[in-house]
Amino acid sequence: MLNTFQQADHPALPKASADEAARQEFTKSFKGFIQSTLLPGLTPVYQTRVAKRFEKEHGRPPADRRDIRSGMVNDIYFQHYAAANRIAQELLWESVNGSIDRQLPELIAKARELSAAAKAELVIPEGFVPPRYVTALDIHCMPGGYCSEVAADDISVGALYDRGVYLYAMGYTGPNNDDMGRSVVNYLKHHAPDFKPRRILDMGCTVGHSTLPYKELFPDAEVWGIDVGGPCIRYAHARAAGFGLEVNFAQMNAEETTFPDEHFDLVVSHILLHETSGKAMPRIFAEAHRVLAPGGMMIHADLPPFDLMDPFTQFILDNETWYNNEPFWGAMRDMDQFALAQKAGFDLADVKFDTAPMAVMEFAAAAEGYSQEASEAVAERDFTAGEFAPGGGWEVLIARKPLDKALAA
Amino acid sequence: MSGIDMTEAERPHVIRHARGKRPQFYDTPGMDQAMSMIMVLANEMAVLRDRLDSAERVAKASGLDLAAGIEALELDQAALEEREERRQDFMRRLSTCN
Repeated sequence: MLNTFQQADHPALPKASADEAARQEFTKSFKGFIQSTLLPGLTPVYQTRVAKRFEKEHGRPPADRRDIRSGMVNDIYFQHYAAANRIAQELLWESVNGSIDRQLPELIAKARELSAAAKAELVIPEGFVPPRYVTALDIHCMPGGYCSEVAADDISVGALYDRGVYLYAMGYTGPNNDDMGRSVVNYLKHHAPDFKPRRILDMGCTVGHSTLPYKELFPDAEVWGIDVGGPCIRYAHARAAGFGLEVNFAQMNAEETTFPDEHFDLVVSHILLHETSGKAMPRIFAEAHRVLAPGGMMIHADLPPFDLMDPFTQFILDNETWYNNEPFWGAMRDMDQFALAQKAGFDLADVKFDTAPMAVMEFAAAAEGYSQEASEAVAERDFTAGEFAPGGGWEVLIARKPLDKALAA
Repeated sequence: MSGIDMTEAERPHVIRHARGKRPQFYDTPGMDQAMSMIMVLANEMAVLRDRLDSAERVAKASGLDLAAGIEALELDQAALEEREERRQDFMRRLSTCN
């Protein structure tokens, strides 16, 4: 199936020249090629060469992902696969960065203009210090990370994330990069049709990709997106305004927000937790519990735990930890999220993992490059380790705060 | 100050390199850098091919201002598919190692 998915334009998005667009399109193709053609070669290489060599050397078969990795890193096929992945990531950011650099003052001016015309709040506190796990290195090799500023009112890394993530996901998350949020909202509409959140908080929202569907599908709710990256928050606010959606954004740490107790009916996050730390994750769960009203729900859409997978699958997935500046990626999958939720104050009986089916099919009719057939192919794949986006849907951790908790206390 | 009022020297620039140690994949010294260079070349070759493709399409359609035509060119579904097919074929030929 040819992937011709195209990102939808919006007023805050950087505009690419013909050559810039071709450069970017190549990186998307390269990622697709690695996934469709190089990735499937790893299993036979492991089975026919690496596992046998390991057994010969150690007198036993590889037992876990560390054993598998210790053998695979010496194999030339794996070296090419891993190097190609890393280079694709670097080319991807560079292809977008060059385009943003050319038009940065104009993009900043445009974002300022969009934000100024919006009614929704934009909160950037003076002297905010982002946590070290975000600034110590540039997560997923994105130059500048989420927080760097190179100009007044800078939005550059926000713009970089918006376009770069589209290429990274190869369009699998839809023309507006919003499949995760859209899928969780669909899940709620299906499983909790009477749930009408008055206030919604999206933690670690970056540029608001997943935040906006909540406003779209719960138009009467007050929606807040928070993130530690100032340029991301500014860009998110301008982007939402460009879509005509009234969503509030604030630069804030999900470990310690400034919202009052029991303020929100729904607290969500999307691919946030694996970019935090072993110390921050329990604090984020506790903070979500604190700001949730009785009867409210906490939903984290992130990576499924390792204990559900075989060692070879774990090994493939853990490549992100080793090669893509994702230091917490593997460790997060070893965390006991039930225990974390319980420690945060939730009852174990009110906590579960479930799958929110991908909403990508909804895009098929309207969006450029999204044929019905290709969208179906993305949504209905089986899970394959190392492919972007799980087949079947997104793994979600759901915890509900009981209604009677307030009465009992 | 908006972008229009800025001189070239005054314009801000984005950060081009990611913080964090770059892993080494190959045993042979210099191989990692060589692979990166090869893929940058491959990328640029694809850009050129795309540009030529655009030029031909524009010329065929109008025979008018090619440069302006290329910037304004909208790829239709068929064109997107042709390009993607060509890129995938190119990478199949490039990736001969196993």
